[in-house]
Amino acid sequence: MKNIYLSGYKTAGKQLMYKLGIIAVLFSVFISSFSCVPTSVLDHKNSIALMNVTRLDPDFEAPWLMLPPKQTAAFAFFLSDDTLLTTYKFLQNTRLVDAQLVGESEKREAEVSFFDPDVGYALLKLKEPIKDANPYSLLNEELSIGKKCTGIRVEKGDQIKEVELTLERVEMGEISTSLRRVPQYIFSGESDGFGLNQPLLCGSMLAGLIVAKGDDELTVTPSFLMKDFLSRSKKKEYIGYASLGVSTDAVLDKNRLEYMGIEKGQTGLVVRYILPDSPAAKHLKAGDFITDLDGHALDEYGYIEHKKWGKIKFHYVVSKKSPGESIKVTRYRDGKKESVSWELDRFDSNTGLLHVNSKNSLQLDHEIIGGMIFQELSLGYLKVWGKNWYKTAPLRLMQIFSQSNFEREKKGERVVVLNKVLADSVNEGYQDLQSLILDSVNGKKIQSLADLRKIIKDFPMLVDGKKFAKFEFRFLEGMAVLGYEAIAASEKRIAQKYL
Amino acid sequence: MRLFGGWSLCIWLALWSYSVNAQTSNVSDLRSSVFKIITISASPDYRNPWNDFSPSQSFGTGFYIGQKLILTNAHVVAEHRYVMVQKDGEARPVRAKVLFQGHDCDLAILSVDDAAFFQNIKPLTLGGVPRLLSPVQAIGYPVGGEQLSITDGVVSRMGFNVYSHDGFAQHFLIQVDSAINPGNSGGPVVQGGKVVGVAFQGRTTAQSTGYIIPTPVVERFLTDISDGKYDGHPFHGLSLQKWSMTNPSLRKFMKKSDVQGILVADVAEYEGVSKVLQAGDLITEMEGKAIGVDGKIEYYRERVDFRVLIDQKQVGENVSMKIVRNGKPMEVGFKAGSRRKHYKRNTVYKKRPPYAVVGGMVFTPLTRNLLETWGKSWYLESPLSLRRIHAYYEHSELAGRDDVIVYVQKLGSRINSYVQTPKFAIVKSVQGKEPKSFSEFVELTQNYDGKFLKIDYFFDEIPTFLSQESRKEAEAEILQSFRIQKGFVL
Repeated sequence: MKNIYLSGYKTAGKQLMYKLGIIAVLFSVFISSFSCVPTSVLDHKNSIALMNVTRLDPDFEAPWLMLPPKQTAAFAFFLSDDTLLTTYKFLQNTRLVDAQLVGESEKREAEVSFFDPDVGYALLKLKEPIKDANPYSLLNEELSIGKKCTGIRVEKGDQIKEVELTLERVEMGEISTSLRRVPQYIFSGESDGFGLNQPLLCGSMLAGLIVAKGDDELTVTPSFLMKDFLSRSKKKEYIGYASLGVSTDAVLDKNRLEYMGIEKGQTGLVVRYILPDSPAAKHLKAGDFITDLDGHALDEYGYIEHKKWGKIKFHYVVSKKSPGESIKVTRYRDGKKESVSWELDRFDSNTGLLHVNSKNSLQLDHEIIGGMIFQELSLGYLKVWGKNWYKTAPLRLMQIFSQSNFEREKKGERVVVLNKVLADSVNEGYQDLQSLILDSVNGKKIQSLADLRKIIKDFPMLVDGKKFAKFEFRFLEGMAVLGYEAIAASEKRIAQKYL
Repeated sequence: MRLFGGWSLCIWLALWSYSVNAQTSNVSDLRSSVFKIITISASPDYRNPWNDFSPSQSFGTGFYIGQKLILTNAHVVAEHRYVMVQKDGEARPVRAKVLFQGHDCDLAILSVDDAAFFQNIKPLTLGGVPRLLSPVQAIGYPVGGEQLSITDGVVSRMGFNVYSHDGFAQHFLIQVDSAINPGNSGGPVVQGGKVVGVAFQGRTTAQSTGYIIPTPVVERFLTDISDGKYDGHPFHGLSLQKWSMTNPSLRKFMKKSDVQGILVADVAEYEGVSKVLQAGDLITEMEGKAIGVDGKIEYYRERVDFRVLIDQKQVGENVSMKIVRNGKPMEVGFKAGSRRKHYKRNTVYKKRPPYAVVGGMVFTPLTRNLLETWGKSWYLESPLSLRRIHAYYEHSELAGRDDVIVYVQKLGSRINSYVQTPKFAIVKSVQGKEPKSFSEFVELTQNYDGKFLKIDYFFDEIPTFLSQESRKEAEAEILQSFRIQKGFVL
């Protein structure tokens, strides 16, 4: 189980969440009996705070309800006397946050003041500043492989231990809240006892936060990303990050290289898919062979050379950029080599047909019409099917998950699902319908909840002067017709019974 | 008999001990007409389609129906290599041959060459459909004993359900509250001295529940084979939306005041009924029988899915029905159609699954059998792309193709060592041409121009490139080293 979440694509987010969950549990149990380096002269006590969080997550099975509140705890560190930085995943959907200084029993009120799911960080503001706060300063440079740093481990009884850790390698990992790829440090050393968001210092500077652990390995989100996040938090307008809009495959097949007319010894990647509305679509097409990005030559697996880290996946180049910045790509097409460049589009975590659910949500967006519950398909909804959801969730939904980026017609396109039917006389005869994909209403295609609302409002079907809505489900798995009068008459009844 | 995994012997024995009642003496007279069937079978390995699994022996029951014919279940003699029958109380089984197998209805006809075998044996006669709650007796050779045994039971339910030997087709069946155990399969279930059904499947989730094939299905089978050839049950391909006609809004919308009829959700492309029906039609009557909102009709005094009326026809027979389309009542007729050429969802029983070895890559058409190689929970464990095509073939990218061609494995060789295509990818095209059937695929991979053979796959899987020149040299060697006799089987 070594940093599995870094390697997979779609399961990555899941793995990370799983790991964070474990860390949170471990943290609450506090393992203290391990040998470690003695407490140093540095006083971390006023640099780190323990955050106690009460979170309320939406219930994807019953979108008008919330799951029972959950309490978790993790660390944050001071940026100033009233501002703390921590990871967003941990603070998503929080209702109450307390900050507790190490060695103190007092709980100080705090609130989330800024967050960015794309990079996975959040800022917390304390109601009252702390006079003797001792903020860390952030290291902005990229660490070199082999660099020895110190993990700050807060233990039971508020003992602070320093553990020597060595930078082993750097990988492109996925942020669980957005699936965006960013560099992540992998440190080796004794990993036992570390909790979520405990700091890693190089010298006296903060170099990263510990976000996951494996056997004698710790995954650390680097401070240079936080620096960037902070500078963005100060800007009036959120500009987001850049996206390449292209997915690629390695070509290890020599026959294929020859078939494509690539000269011997030339390495690169083949384009598998391009987001249809990405600017890349004007310059690349599936089957093109790309050999370098901004002058960084790609090897046969898509790695480029980094002066401090050695090999790193080419996504690194994109992770450094903002939307609007340009990228230069060399491509082979029909045996001809050519250089193209374009301005990068903004990264959007919900670019596929499926919601990643990166937002902080009070309640899940849904629409109840005559007891039929409609919502947009999301990862959270698929996970309603339990631990083995990727096996047990309905096939019609899983096929969208398995190719969520591949069959999109337009930006913002979503899949609207009939979750279930709240039984009432209005929907008699339809009560068995569930987890179906809504294809059209009154013959008009549905590609979002907004479409559904608009069509219900503006395009009723008239039969004998009465208004009707005809719902048709994908793959002809059923249909339902509801009269507007019947819907209106049912609203109060259904609300009283269920909502 | 693999159908009956998980049955407990004790339960069966408990039931057995009840079997003393007035009928017993009568039933004993039938004993000599009931035989034990011993089958040695070898089923093909769908992952290594040139191979069989090692042969195994299994037992079942059959009974004499006259004209030197023995009736049993198709699954009792499935994938048979050698079949024997043994009379009650005789020491030695004799060799039998399989004349007909109806895999969809799980019935088979055997015969014995030695005419003396049937001497002094009275054929059993077929009776009608028993009433609910009436007592029946199952006669057979269930596991765990050498002797014939008789089990009492009561008819508890009738329905139109999946026959598990086929895995997909639904037919009329009767549930009895007596255990049907492995070995019971193919045995007669009698009432008043007449056969009212053939024991054929049990249920792993409910104890003391057995299913029998009712006489209308048996008679349909016997009629079907009377011309020397088994055509099988007609197919309907109808998906229905039960109970929707109870909805007042829908009735107003369709201008139907009475709560009756079944809504057609989808019509898969089959011969017969799919030619005249379309999604959204309301079927109100079939063969003069009114259809309820639950899609059921009155059938042998019980309520049964109306599709049984199509299912019980012979292929080519006329069926009449009344429908409502776009508010207009219509009377339509169609000829009951056979199973289509396209992808079928049922388990197939064929001595040799089709396959092709192309540059050491093994291709085979998708079948339920292939999916079942992922084990009992194949519908959860098999690759998503295959499960998906299996379930949604008609609405998938492959709709209209006769075969779904799957790359199942690579037989290691220097020629294919660079192939990056992942296992279980589904073939889209060969040299840019889309094969409609497996035989077309084989033809395209055998005869082509150019230096490389290029195979593309669905869902953007990594294509395959095989060098024509090295293929010629390598293929014979691959077949030889993996001990495969033929490069392809159609």
